Amino acid sequence: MGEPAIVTAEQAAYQYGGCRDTVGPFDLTVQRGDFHLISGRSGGGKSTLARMLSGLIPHLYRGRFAGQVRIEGRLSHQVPLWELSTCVGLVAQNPAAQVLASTVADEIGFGLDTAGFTNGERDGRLQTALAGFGLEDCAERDPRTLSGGEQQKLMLAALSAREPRALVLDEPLSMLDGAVSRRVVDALARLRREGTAVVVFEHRTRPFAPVEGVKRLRLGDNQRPEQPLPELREYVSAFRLHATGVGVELGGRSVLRDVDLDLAGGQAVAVVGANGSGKTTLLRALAGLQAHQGQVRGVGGGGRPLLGMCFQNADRQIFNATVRQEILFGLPTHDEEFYRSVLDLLGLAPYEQTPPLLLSEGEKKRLALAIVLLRPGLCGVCLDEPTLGQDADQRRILGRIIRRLAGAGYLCLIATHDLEWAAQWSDRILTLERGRLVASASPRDPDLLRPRISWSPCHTAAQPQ
Amino acid sequence: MLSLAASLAVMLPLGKLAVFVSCFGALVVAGGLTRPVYDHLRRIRVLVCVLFALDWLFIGLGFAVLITLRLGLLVTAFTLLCATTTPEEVRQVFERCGMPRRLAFTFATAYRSLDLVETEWHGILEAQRARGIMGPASADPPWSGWRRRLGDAVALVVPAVVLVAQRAWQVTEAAAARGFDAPVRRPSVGPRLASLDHLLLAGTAGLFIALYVVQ
Repeated sequence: MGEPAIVTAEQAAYQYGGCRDTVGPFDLTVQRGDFHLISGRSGGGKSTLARMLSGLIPHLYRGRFAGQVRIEGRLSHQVPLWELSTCVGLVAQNPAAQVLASTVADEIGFGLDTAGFTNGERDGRLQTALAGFGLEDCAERDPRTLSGGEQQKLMLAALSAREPRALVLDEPLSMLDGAVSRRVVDALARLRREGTAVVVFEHRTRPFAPVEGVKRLRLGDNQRPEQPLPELREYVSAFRLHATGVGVELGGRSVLRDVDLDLAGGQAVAVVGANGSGKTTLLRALAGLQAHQGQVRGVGGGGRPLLGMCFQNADRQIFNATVRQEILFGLPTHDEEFYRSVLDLLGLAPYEQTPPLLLSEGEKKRLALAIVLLRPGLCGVCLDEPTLGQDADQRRILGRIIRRLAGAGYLCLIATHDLEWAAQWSDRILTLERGRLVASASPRDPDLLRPRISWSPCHTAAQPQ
Repeated sequence: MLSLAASLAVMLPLGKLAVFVSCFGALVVAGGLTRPVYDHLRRIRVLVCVLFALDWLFIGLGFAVLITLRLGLLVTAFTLLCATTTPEEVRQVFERCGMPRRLAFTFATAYRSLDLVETEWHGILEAQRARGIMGPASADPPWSGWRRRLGDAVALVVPAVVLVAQRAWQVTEAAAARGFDAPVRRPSVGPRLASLDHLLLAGTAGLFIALYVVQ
């Protein structure tokens, strides 16, 4: 007879309060030393299963829980959550949103205090966790000033210091660039070698290729069939955007330096670089939202071309009762036919009367794009990390939309960590490093996907939103 | 302590208030806290100038100086609290005062989230401006202005409420996943004071007592 399972889910299903659909049922057995990699489309139940495995469902959620989850042989709904947390640790999707303390040391100490360790034990575990994840030099730093990768490692350190038998991670790489992702995967592989079972829910499976013995599982249905995309009913006249010596200083720090660009309508241009390299700042400067040095002007008649900006967090723009109201809010007049063609192109027509807050993340991002596209006189769009947290289907849909927009004469500028997506869907890739434009390459450049972004411990970077 | 003294001193009459502000300023400089105080006062400079001008115009110079000093002192008191006290220290003080742990944690988290809310607020403002809301006054007739302003306010408040609620839920999940509700818990270690802290505490207490003795 083998070692008993740490977590077992048997026909576990959950219906959130106020929703008709049930998520699941799921079956999964997690044993010591396992490394499960669970992928699947957005809305397929990954986060729900992560919450069930860690006991947050049914303890924190008021919906209908069916089936059973056993943690160390005990039914999860019969054991207090704090007791379950000593066995299974959960790292949710956005590490910045999980920060509970003002310093890195206090962040790790929070979980040690609740576990009731003595002062000596606590300090020993704290030092081990700091050393184990290379965080010694930032023990007194505010976690919010760390980069996305450092924050993710901090969350791993905070959980692993409690020595749970299993760690559950919900999309740990969604906010990280390639080089930092590899560091986090290495850290997970190390924890697994030390005996902790690891369960990762993630869209991006390629970074886990070097890890041996990974058990792969896919939730939900398979890839959805592609629908043909309609054409936009209006085209943008040819234009060029010329930027010379664009620079931005924020808080006395030079975030962007001497960027020269010559861009044309009808191009899809990806801007890549490490966290804090100035991608978003460049887009904001080109869209006229950020005061900057240097000059941005249109060439070939007219003034500065109007570029609309789609931010990373679409929730910051949403406040109306329906999708239609949201898109048309504040517009003195609109062309109904163009509005319809935008809805069709972005796949939002079925949701026209739906409250925007009920849309999925991918749909919200497309709604933000629709809001921008309806602005009169628009020549181009700037999209900040549009693929973040999106599954393969959503990323492909977005790529096809970008191609359609470029085909209609729009200039599409996309700041992204996702080099593979950029290489597939853009015409040109600009690489920023510490605020400087260091390369402008064709997506067919064979060197492009080679790791080029350096990573150093405890570096300060712009926060993901 | 310095913040508490400053917030109480606003009730002093003008002469004593001026003495307090002079000594208070010296302690702020000694504590190396000039930068955050200057930054916060700079943010409200327009409001302070307008208030000063109105008070001087309608009431008198003495009253204008008194109100300006009080406002500056209150802002400074809050700035000092934020600059010198971590949320963990706030939580520990509350717990030592007998407040239930859950409530103390809630207060400390709310205190820590003040700048997060400010960041989100700026993000919402920028996002809405980018889509043409909150822009310069349009060519609408004046009587339709209130409707536009109401729409603008809704455009800011609804996303702010949604984002704050989302953030609160994420913090709840994170705390629960690290055993927040555990009945056994290591007792908190109180805030440790450096010699400069003792100096500032003694100076503030002495100043406070001196002002009331003189009275």
